Amino acid sequence: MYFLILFLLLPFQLAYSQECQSDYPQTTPSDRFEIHGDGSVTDKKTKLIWKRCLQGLSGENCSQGTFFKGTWEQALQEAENNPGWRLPNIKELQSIVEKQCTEPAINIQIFPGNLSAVWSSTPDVYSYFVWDVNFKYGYTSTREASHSFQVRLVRSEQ
Amino acid sequence: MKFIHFIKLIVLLTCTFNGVNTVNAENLINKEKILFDEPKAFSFDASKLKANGQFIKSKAKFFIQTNVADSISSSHDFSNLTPIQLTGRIRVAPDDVGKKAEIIVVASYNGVFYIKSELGWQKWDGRIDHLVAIKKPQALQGIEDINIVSDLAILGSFKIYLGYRLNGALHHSKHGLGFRIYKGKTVKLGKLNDTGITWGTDYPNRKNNTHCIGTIIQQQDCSQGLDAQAAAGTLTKIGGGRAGFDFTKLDGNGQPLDAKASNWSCVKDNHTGLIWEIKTDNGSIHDKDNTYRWGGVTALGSGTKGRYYSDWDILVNGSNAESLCGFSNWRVPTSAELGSLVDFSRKDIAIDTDYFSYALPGVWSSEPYAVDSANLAWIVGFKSGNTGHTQRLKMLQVLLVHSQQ
Repeated sequence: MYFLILFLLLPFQLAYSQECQSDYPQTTPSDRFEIHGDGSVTDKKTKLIWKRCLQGLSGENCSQGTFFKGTWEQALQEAENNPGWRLPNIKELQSIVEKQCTEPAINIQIFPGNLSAVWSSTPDVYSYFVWDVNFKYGYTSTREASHSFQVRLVRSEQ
Repeated sequence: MKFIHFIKLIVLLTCTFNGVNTVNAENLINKEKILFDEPKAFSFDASKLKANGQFIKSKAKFFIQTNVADSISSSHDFSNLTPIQLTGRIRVAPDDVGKKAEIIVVASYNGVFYIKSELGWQKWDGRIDHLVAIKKPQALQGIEDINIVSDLAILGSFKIYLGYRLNGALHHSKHGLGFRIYKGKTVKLGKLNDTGITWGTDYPNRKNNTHCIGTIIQQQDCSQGLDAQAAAGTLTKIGGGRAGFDFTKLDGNGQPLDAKASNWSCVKDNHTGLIWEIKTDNGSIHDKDNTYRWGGVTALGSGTKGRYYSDWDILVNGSNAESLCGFSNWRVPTSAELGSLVDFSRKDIAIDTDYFSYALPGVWSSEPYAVDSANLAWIVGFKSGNTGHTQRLKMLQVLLVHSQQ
């Protein structure tokens, strides 16, 4: 019996590893967002429209498919392959960091799925370095463009 | 932490499997061939619920439409701030048109069943023979439109089912339309500043250009937003500032000054609407060399986790006392507010130095870092522009902000 329960729990354990401090303020409460049926979500605060899933993933829990991971150039190309969408700049990408939580530092009701570093469109002053947000903990950093990171696309409200 | 989730999950699984709160649904499945779908009060799954095109047993088709402020919505999450209207439509099976039938509307609300009758909504015990119609039997038309509910704004999880009873047979939507109404908060618009980047990168050559040219340039930062508009000469600013930034200097009373003014006390960001303290080099409480440990007045969080030092109270309280730039509710900014000032096109002082004159290598935000008792808090470093977290006992600068209520 216990074996069965543990067996059932295993995949859930991974999905539930996010840690949130409920007595710290939420930076991205769910009611800031309006989810659309097409897999996108509007951030009513910033008026940006985001894809709920990282590139490559789909489904309501973004659990189908394999997430895109590539160099910055591949990330630019991936965005280019999705007409109407673009790579967010570093400030836009930071605007969906949930500072109440870590692992991942994002509102998983709005943006499901586990996250690590995600490319921005913002190059660093030092050539060949590019800004990214590490969504495991929420901080920003600059990395060589040859690193392989994930992509989340955005567009501006018309 | 993990153990708690373990327990939660057990509870969740048990409830789901035992069908708690489903009002005899399981019994009904066995006794009756036709019944309304079992609501899943514990697992609201928006993806499996479609606003239109509900599944049917009979040749009739059932649709439920959600309207918010007179426009159709495909959302499954609604705020109680904007009431929703639900309309049902039945495309009656061709053979049934003209026959006398009863139209039935069932709703589950937080796991309890209700039916709509002429008298309004009433509880339903789940028994098919207790189902009542919304009105007296009538000859069915090809299309039956039903006003299910207008101005629904109570909090909770809902599932709505439609059907009609004809000669004792129940034609119904197999899957209800599920949705949730949550407590809405008004969202204040928080415009984002652009990054200050007006140039592109050549990927293969590993080199930054001086203008907006480079690899897949239309996807690079410099092609988008306020900075691109500024570079194209199409951005109208209230004040001044590099690239897409729009700042105005304010005097000690909060009056706007010319961009070239050599003495100013605050800076207004005309895009975000935030008003910023500036650092000085005069030994006052605003001096650039004053540093503080994290915590104190206007720091966020309950104060129960980790250390809260009160070092910066002297700056916050002092600024309020002197009514800096005419305001007496200064606070330590969030990391997002602080980060809005970063000019990513610059290094060492990654901020517009025409407005913020002094280096700000490490500046505290008001936000604690979300790890239990970690004694960390969020900072923005204006050397490179990064946002990160560090030990609360570090001595760092503070740049106060004021926002209109």
